[in-house]
Amino acid sequence: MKTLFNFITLFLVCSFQLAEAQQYPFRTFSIEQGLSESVVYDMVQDEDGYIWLGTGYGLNKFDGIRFQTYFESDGLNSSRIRALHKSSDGKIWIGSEGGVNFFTSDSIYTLSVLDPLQNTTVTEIMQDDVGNIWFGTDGSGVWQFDSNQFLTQYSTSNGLVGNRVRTIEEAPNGEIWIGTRSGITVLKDGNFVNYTEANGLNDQHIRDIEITSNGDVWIGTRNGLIRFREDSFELFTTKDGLVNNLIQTLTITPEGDLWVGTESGASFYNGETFQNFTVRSGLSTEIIQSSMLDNEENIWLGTYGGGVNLFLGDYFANYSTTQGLPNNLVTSFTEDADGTTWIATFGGGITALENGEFQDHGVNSALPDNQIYTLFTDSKQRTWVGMGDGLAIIQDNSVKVFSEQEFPYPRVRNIMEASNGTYWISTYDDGIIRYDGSQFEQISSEDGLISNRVLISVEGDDGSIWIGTYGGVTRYMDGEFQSFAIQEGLPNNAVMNLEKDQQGRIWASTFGGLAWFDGLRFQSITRNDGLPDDVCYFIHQTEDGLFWIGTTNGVVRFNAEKYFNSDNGNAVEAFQVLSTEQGLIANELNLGAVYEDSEGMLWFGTVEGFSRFNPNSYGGNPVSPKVHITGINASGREYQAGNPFTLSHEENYLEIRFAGINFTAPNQILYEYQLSGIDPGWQQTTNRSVKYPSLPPGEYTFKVHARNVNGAWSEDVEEVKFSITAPFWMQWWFLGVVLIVLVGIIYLFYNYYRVRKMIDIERMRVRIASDLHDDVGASLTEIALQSDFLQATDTNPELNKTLQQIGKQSRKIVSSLDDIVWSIDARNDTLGDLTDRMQDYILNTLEQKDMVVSYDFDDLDMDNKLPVSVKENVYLIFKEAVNNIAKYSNGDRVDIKMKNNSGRFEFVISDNGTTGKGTKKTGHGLRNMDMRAQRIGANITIDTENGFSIKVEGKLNAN
Amino acid sequence: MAVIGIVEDNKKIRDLIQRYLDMQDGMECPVAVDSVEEMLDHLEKHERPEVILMDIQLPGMSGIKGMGIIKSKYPEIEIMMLTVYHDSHKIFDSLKAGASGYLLKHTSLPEIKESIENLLKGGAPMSPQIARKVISHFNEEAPKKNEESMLTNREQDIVNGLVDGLSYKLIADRYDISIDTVRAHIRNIYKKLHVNSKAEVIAKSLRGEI
Repeated sequence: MKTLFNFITLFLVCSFQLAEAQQYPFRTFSIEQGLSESVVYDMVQDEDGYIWLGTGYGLNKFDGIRFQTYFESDGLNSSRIRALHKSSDGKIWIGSEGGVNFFTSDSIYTLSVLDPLQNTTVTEIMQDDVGNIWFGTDGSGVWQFDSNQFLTQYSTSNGLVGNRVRTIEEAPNGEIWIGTRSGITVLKDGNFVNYTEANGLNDQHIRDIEITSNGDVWIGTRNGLIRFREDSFELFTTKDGLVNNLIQTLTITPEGDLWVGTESGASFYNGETFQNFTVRSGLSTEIIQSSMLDNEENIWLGTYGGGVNLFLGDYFANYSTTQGLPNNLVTSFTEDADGTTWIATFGGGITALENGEFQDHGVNSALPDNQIYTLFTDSKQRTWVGMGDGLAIIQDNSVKVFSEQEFPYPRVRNIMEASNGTYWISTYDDGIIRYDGSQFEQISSEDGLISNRVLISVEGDDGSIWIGTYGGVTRYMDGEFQSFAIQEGLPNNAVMNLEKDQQGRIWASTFGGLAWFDGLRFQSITRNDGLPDDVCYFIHQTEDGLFWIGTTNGVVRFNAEKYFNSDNGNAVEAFQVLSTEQGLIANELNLGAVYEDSEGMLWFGTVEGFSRFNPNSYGGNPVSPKVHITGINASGREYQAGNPFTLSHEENYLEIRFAGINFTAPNQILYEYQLSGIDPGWQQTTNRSVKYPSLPPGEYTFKVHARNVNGAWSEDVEEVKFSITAPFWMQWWFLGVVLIVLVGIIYLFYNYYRVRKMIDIERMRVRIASDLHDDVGASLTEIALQSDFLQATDTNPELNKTLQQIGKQSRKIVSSLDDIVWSIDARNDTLGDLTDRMQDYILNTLEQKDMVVSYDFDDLDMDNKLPVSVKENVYLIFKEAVNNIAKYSNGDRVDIKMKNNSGRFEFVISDNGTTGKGTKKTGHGLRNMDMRAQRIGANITIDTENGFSIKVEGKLNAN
Repeated sequence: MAVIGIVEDNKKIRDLIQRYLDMQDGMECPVAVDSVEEMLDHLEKHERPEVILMDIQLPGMSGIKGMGIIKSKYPEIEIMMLTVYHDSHKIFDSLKAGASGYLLKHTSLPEIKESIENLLKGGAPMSPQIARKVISHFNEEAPKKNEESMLTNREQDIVNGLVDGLSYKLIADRYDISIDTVRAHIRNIYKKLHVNSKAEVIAKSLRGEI
């Protein structure tokens, strides 16, 4: 008995579902698409727009196309994810069977303060308004993690109704609602208030709680849906239309509507009725485990075993043979007098869609052909059927087929009723047939038609008939034909559809794009003008002025007003594509297969069934995509966007990957990117990467932003900066080194010649001095010796004195020459040589004077070399000083002292005499000494106060 | 009677010195030539002078080289260099070649006479410059451990005194010896210098460096 009852229930449920037997645009992502496991326990969207999916095995980050997965090896306590939550600081909290982790800036973290949770299964995470994070566990109650990093546990011993927590939710008034397997605990002003069956709760097995902004608490239980409002519980079950009573998950929309996920499908409750979704309506599997709304307000339904289903909205209802359609090649639609929509198929005859079921009321058996091209309901509510095999009219369920004698024209492609009551029947290969109600009149190329392959005709405002053929367009009026082809502006001669717009303009859709008639000729709109596809099977204008164009890549929604008012650059925004991404059943439309019914619904026939589209409930997708640069591959090495980086000149093959996060139509994101210095302007692509082979060295900035299918640009322009270093032979330091080397070489050459020149000069000096010394010296020596000789022979004292003077003077000159030759002789260049010379000189001048000469050369480094100028000048100062002493001093002691350290020298010569006060200060000798000291940049102090004292201080390497 | 010879290419200077020395008591200067070759020729045939005054720059063989030849043939002849240069390097080279002293050409005639007398008395002049070179010369020779050619302690003292610029008199005072002893030591030092140099020359010739 019970089995029978179940059977009846099942039957009822099935028939109920049959009545709703259309497919909605659900998009499924599961293991095949890269999801780590097919059981989705929880979902959350982060601030960058990525959707995180916690599965029975692995955490997934989803960008609309690609899943990135995380497991225990990436730092998770457990790969069995049970709960996800985004906290206000943007962290993603991860509850698993091994406790809690969180994810932030590309890494998974563990908090040691949360260690107590490690051995429990965390089933829920929720951050309240004041910042506490609440963890619900399966068996250990709830744990409160406050902003001071304290972790507090509440369990049944604290008054919690049960320790197996399923959900935690905060009400707008700050109450914390905790749903468990044994009732609800509400934390209200620090007190626990428990709700169980004992105090009116309909079922204690709580699975989910969601609270609306006005305070309604929705409670999902194992026995239906409960609404808690004004302190009373109200139960909703299958009796009220709920798809199933075993509720698993709830999600509230911003409008206050409720999504209910059950173990047998999902329900959408708008406050009045439940709209149910099951496997038949497109879900991948019956059991819904989790649910979430993304920032585009798409509902995500995580399933148990079927991955995740993304519901794009019910604006598309899709029908194919799965739903009972006799054939998937849908060519035409019409609405009969009863408001029933008839669908023509090519190979399956015609069928009426009534309450979600297809039936033909027996008309197909009366039709000679099941290859239907077109349906048309005229002003007398007769339905015309254009077939491969002729023409028929259905009126009041009775079919009238025109015989071959009456209508000898096969392949009827279109029937049009003109304002004067005549019918115009387009035929393939037989021209156009005018029918006045009794007679068919053929108008063909013989009469002036541009081609006999006629696909369509429309009536212009002036009563002219526009005839679209595979050879162009012919305008027929008052017996006159005027034809238009490529020469007259058509983009292609194969015209498939014509449409008269609200302003009376004639539009043509062709194999090569669109065209509109400007009064003289056609103006084309093609791919070059932004039309997404050139093959235009149909064109239809709705009341709102938008055109709907069927192509091989979906239906194009064309905003002609925007197109005409925009610059060429923005024209692209006038075109929006509705494709399978938006829920269209297939992207390849059929010729002329568009119909607008009396309720404003658009019917699109494709090669895989048809879609019924509600343009009023399709809001498009105003949410702009979030764009991210997801990675850079430089000659095989991966770099992350974020911080600037530097590449070597060999890593100059770059692939930059980016993603615009948009879940409604991820494949219809348009990217604009620019690499500074390479791309002259924004470049457009629908790919998610761009390659740059062999970039030259330099600084680069790559920018990208993204636009969704509805024209909403991402708020930010993402950019990444990087530089490619020049190879070493192009780097500044290398060029610098080369320059320095060149300068060095030039300098060396210069120096070599300079030094050689100096050496030459030096040699010349020495030679001149030596020659002078040798020749002049020899002559002077002769004179001196002569005088000596004369003195020895002649005894005249007067003469003797003169001779003595001559000899002395001659020797003095020779001695001076000798000093000069000595001082410029490079071999005598050490301090030792200098002091030797000094001592020699002392010996020759002071020895005879009985003066004690004391030398203090103890601190002198005798091997220290002296520049010629220093040697020369110090020696000559010394000589002058000694001469002074020899001449004028009345003392008996001379002190000579010389020191050198740290590149300086000090030379002192003094006597202990008392003469010499004042007078000699300005003497010639003293001035000479001054001058010589200046020459080598030395300080000279001449003191004649106590005897005679000269002090010379200077740099050893002066010059 | 001291016999003096002169090798000097400047005829006027040569004649003046010759005439002056001839005028002196106890000195005669029978030979005054202008090249080493002539002097060598003279030495073979005539009485040898005790002292030869030798110029360095000469036509033909240089004075230094000629002195080496003369000293090797007639070691008893004392040779004094007569130079226009007060050039310690050249002077030291000549001392190594065997000279017993040196005179600057512009030295007055009485001084020349005095120097010859001193030399004959056994003394030889040594300036601090030469003394310093002597020290470094013997220090360089030290590793050869040729005891004979090494300076004695006293000789070392005297050279050090000369380097300090002390006069012969002061050196004599410092070490409580007579000036003549100082002179004798200095002369000995010259000889050792010569011996050393000869040893060096022999060593070099044995090694094939000359």
